[in-house]
Amino acid sequence: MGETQAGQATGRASTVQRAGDVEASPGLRAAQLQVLSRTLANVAHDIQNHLAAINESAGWMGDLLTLKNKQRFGWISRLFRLGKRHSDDIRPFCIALDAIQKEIGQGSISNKRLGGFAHRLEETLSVFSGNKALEEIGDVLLREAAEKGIHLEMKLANGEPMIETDPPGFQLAVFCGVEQIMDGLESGDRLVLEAGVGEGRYQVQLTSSRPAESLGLPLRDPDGQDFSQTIVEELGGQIWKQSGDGNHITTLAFPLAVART
Amino acid sequence: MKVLLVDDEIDFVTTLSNRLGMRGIKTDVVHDGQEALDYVKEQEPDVIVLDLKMPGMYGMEVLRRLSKTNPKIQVVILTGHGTDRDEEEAQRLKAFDYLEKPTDIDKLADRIRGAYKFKLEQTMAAAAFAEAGEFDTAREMAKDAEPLKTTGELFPDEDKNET
Repeated sequence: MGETQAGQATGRASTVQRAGDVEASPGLRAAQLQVLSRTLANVAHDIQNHLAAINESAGWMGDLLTLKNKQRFGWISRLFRLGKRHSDDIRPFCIALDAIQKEIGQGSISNKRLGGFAHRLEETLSVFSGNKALEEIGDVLLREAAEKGIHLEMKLANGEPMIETDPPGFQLAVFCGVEQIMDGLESGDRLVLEAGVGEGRYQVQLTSSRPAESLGLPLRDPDGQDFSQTIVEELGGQIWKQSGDGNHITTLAFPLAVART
Repeated sequence: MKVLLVDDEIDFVTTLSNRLGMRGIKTDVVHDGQEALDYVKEQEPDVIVLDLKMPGMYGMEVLRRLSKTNPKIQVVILTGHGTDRDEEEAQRLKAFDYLEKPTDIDKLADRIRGAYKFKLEQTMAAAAFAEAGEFDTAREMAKDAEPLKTTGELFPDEDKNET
């Protein structure tokens, strides 16, 4: 009995191992990405609806409290100057409701970014806001930086410059670029991600406090090329590095969208 | 002012209706796109607050049909599903505004009033042209009314204060 169970367990383990060894075709990977994208988008949508419902309920409670307060104490308050006392009665409830709505607001922002990221996974060549796309990956990068004790600062471009390229590719390139640099940084180091328009392109500058030479092992593609460089070039952009004044800058530049009439 | 709320999230839309009612905006509620179109056939609302992702008919399809059959009705999109493409499409179909859930109730109330005011202005302008005998212009105004522009321009100060 014991042997049978052990045999079954071993069989299962080896099956799992063999399945893991199968190399997925690009078509299968694309299909997986599509499923992931839709699943994420649907989950984000459901969460957003729940947040909206909670927000309205909290707001409704606040409305009722205020209304009841006015009805009960309106003219009496004015007559006996009890305004302060009755507003003290409902203040703790109002503070609690405000806190709920504030948390919903923050959760909602993160969730919208998740939803935006999920929708972008399915997009190919399109015109989109570089800032929005950066915000969508910003939360994850900031969290990772915080875990490593790195001070990551994000400065988005003025206005809302539109890029014309592949959105998931753009996000992946910036993500890999930041990851590469963060790999080489230590707790207490600083990294600034600054986006802007320069030389007719949308540029993402990554400025770190350590020289590029000591920035750990970069992610590389099978040809040994810098991974983010491969992606940026495939997207019709450019990547370059420069150093000076104690700063070490990696710039990723992407094509701006042609102005639409 | 006759306002219709279209949303399949029953608890959400019921509470929303109550809160708008407290702000002097009486509303009717339906829960899917087909119900909305049926309602419009019976009694034409001035403003519709329309969700996008609903069972059966997608909100954008409702907007598309309304823009052909009832272009005077002003539509405020209120969605938790929004994408850039949805927003562009809503603007192309001349939705009055595009808001994302959760939104501030007073902001929504202001947008609804703004949409109603816009509709009245269009109607009055069309009537004035008709009275002057310029029927073609009047017809065009009534048919192809272009919203003033959506989010951010009608109430710029309020948007700046949002967090």
